Amino acid sequence: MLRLIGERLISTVILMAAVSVVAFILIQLPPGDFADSYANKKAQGGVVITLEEVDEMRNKLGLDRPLYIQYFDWIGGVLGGDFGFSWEFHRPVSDVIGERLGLTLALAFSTLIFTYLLALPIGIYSAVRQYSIGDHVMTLLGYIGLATPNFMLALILLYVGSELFGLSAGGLFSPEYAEAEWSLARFGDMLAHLWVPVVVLGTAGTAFQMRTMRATLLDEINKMYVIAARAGGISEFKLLMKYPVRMALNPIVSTLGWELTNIISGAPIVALVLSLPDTGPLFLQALLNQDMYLAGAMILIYCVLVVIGTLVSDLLLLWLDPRIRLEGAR
Amino acid sequence: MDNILEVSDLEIMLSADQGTVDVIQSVSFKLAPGKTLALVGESGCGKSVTAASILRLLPRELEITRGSILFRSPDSGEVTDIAKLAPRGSAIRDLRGNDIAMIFQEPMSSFSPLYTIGNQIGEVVQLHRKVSKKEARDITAGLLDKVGIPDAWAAVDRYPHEYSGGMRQRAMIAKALSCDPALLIADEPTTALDVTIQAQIVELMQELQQEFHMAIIFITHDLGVVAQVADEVCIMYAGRVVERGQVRDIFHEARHPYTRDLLHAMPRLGNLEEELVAIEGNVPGLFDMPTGCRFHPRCAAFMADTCNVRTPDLTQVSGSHIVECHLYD
Amino acid sequence: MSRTTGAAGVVGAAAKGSPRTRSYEVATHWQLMWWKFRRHHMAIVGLSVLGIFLVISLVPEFLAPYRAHTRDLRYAQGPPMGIHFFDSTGTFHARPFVYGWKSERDPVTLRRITTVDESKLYPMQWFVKAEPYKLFKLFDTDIHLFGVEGSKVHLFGTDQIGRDVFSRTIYATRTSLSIGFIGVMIAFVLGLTFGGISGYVGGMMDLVVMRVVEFIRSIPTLPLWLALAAALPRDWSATQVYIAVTVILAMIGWTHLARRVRGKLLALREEDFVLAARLSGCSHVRIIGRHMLPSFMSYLIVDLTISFPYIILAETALSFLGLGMREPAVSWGVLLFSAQNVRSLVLMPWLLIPGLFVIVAVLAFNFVGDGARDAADPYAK
Repeated sequence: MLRLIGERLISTVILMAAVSVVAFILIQLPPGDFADSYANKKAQGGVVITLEEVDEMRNKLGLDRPLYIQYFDWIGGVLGGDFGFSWEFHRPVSDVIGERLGLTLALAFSTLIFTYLLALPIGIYSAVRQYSIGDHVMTLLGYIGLATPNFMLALILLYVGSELFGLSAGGLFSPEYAEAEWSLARFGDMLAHLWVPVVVLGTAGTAFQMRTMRATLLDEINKMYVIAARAGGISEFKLLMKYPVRMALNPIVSTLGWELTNIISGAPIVALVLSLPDTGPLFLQALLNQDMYLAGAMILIYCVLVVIGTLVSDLLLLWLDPRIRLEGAR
Repeated sequence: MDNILEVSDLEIMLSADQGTVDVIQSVSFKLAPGKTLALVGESGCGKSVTAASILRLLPRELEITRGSILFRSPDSGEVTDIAKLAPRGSAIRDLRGNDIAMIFQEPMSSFSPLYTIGNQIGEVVQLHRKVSKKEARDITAGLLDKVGIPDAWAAVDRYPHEYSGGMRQRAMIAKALSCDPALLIADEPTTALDVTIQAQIVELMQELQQEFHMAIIFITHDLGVVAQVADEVCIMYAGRVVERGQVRDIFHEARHPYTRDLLHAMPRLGNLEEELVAIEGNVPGLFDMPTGCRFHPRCAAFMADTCNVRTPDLTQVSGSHIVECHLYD
Repeated sequence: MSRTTGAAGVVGAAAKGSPRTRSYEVATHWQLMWWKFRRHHMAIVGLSVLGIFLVISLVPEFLAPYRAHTRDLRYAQGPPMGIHFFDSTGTFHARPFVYGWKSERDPVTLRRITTVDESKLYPMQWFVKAEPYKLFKLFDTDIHLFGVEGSKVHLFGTDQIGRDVFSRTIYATRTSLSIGFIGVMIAFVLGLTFGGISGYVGGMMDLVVMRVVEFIRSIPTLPLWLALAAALPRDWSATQVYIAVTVILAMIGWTHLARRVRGKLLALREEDFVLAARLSGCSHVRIIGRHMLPSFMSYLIVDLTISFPYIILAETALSFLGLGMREPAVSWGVLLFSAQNVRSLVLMPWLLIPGLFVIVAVLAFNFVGDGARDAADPYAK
């Protein structure tokens, strides 16, 4: 078991290293470098910068050194919490991201909880009452949920909110709390706004997990061990929960990291549409402006979140399934 | 009612996409306390369905549509018609594992891999007896010891995949015995095991039957095992009982052509010259059941215009020996 | 069957015994698949919908009454027009018609207000002559499926600058589906190549390819594709962007396919017929192409069907953000781009209609995918 965890941790570290290389490549991808962009920007503002000045800047920033040295330079900074400089915001990237990352995390985890809280009971219901009206309705909703792009759902909610209730469903705070200090009231206000992005982000995942639960449970429910346990006289509900449902949790848990990937993937678009003050709009803006240190840092953070999520899901699975656990012991 | 179980005129229907057909038709048999009844037949003849119906463990598509399954509780003497109980109700749950226990064909898949053996046996103990978790665990360990699992006190905390096939079947038997049942249904308990282990399991069951004074319904297609364990035998074919009698009647006085074919198909020690005879053809599918006697397309004694037209009546050969064949009408 | 009860086994036996005509025994693999697929009603519905989409993609010029960039300034920001059979007096018209409209500016808000003029009726006409185009880029014609004479018909309304949303959606269907199709094809080639190398050559190559696949699968793809798309030079032409976006999107689908191909090849490598082919001196390419590939082609097609909607959704998302296709190209995502903020949404909710096309297309693909998944193994119960 310890060896399994050890192996898993090592592969996680390797994965993160690979992710950082990808992020760095992305930073380098747009034509020209920071010095060029800076010069262009200044030139548009009417300030003329000479080639010598650009070269000097390049030299000062180390942009003329080989790429791999720049990479180690950058990653060294990242490990120390320095993600580079955003020329769009004229501030260090870590500052820009720092104040918004909390909301991104809160959103991702609320969505994750929402997804499973809703998907599991519905999936169980659908499997136990297979081909009932409720099952058909849920299956249909599941299909639609999977097929609707989440920004589309966000737009529809925005429209419905504003037309029917005269509310703005966007944002994360009411105007009076937007700039206020953190307080219990502000937190409550946030929760009241949070459900919209959570529903939007969680719908596809809920639909997917619901279907997974239903399919796995339908597979398990007729297995020999369930019938053998029923022959012992246990009540149907306890039987369901202790045997097939518990068994069906394994594939669900193993998709946890994947689910987090989807949420993280969808979050920027939804945040943009709903104008949430988290890292999403920041990231997209950075991409549109090719503010690549900021964008690269965001990609790195998103990837690390997912890698950690996958690690957690693997460890959970290890803890949940004695077969894997004992396999490692031998 | 002296018998512990009386099944009469049982009919079970299957609803499928293609329509509704009977899986079990006019099945009747009786079982006295402490005796062993063997249900014998090829795969797909309905013996497992019959067994599962006694505990109402049938899948949703299968439904008891006629007949009764009378069970007499040895403690109270009360008679229950199991066929009338709700399949998910509490009345049948009180019988399951308590008065009637069942062991299954595949020990490898009869336990959930996620819980220890002790947990899964202890569950049954706690369901039917008023004992604490600790006591249930002690009882479980005692049971495992009794069925011959070495180092039972440690084995309680092991997971199914740490047991061998034979050990798992022993654990399954321990689970079945946990509440001292009056009737044990064994659905091909030895089929999936190695030959040497098979003999051990059969022996173990016989010992335990003596000790616990259980009646056993033993489902098998292995006539060798039948000769060893059974008091009475029901030969089933295509959802019907075609012949039934004392084990002696069946082995020495077999009447039904199908029973005879089965006996011919059985290898015997010391009879090396004798050629084994396979039975021609296959068990008919549920949706293309032959008319008349269901065995007629494969029957050596087929009589045109009789066997393929009418369903034969039951004929009493002697005392308890009954056959369903036009040869004896 | 082995892990179910005896009772459930009987159910299986029942199916085995069901009447099977001779045609079942002589049917080809693909026929069997089709028969099994046909049993899924929703899959058939999905297939029909995809058929309609295919027709739309082939002849959008004919189906759309106007071109994607034709402006009807008088009806700018106008709502969808209803098609009527009964006029305001309750009289029935055998030929459906649309009402005329008046357009004026609100003197206070300066917002354009379109009011229906029920006194003017314009009957719908089939095969009207309107803007000329080249059918299949070959034949000059100016016949459109429908239209009205003397006025304009806007079934889905118009956008900010008076372009017909219906016509634009029709044209966008071609772009979006073709991106999906080409993307899937590229993914197919990538998956086949890398999965093939991995599974057939094995060893070090296998290790490297599989690590790369695992890596791609373990990172959040959409932000990554967004970043790739953002890195495209801004001065690229619409065609260049189209190609680049397609290639980027294809990266989504191939990893799954590569895994499938590898797994199947590994299993098949040990089969006798492959050994026989090798002993008789077939080349590697021939062994894979002629002997191994056909035996799991059906699975690959199912995987492709399943990855299609992901590519469509990704394109829509990318273009919606302005990072994928851009004007003057029209795709579903580009059309939705104009519905990005609440103000235009409240003003012109009909701009969301292209989104319904996305949903319907993805639904259809999912239904077909589910049916195909089941049919891929026609011998399984």
